[in-house]
Amino acid sequence: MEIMKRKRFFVWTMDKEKQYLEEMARSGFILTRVKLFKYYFEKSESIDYVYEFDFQFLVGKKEDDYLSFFQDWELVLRYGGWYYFRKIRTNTEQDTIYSDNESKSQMFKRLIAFICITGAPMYYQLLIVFPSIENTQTSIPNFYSFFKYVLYIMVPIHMFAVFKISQMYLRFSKKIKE
Amino acid sequence: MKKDITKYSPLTEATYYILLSLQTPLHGYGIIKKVEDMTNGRLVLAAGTLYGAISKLISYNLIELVSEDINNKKKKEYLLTESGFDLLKIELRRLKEMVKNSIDEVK
Repeated sequence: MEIMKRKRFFVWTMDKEKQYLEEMARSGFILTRVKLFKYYFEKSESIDYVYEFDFQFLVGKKEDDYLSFFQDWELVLRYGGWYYFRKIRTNTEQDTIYSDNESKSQMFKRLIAFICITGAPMYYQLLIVFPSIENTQTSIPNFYSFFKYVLYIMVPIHMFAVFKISQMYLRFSKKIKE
Repeated sequence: MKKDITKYSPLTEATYYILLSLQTPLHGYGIIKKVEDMTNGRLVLAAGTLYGAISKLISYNLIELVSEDINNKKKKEYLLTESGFDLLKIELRRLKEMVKNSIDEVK
């Protein structure tokens, strides 16, 4: 039997998400799939799992190649560019997929690059397309202002996410120097 | 055209062992196991970290992808390039010097 829990975790609260999934596994709820802010579990006996998340954009053969590095891990699911792995806790340094801060900071760098590229069309609309429409057209269609207000909401959210993930990136790239 | 590989020296311990293990072709997980064996379990490379390191070493042309095993298409194998081997020798010389100096100095 599958149960669903609503939980709001973001990239910058991924440590909490990891803890949450591990606690659930210890109480016998094993993660099966994820949708936006929804977590699905299967009831089983209690398992002391460690969960790890990675972000990559890989296709086809590259992905097979990537996954072949993870033979000690179980791939639980893929969600967007996210890979959820788990294994039974050994309480050694093998319980992690990133053993240094440099490689961990690279993950956040990839993520920032990804959301900047996918977010770029919004900024293009807002800064270039809209001003030019307003300059050339005298009557502005209705859907246009609706679209504009949607972007007024989306762009600050996007900026906030970029800011928060950049903070994560800096946190790990700083630790190298300490 | 030979690039100056001395700029990569000194290597981190993990990178050194990755190069050392790739004198024969290995797939990703094979590298983890071989390094673990060589160091008697002291150095265990984390999968994500190793994947990143491998991509970087390929872009520096220190290792390369070699033809895949047809029977097992999931596994790509990596092998040291000529400049990777040169770098390994440079590092070995440096390490030997460190050991030699240390044996005389540390009592």
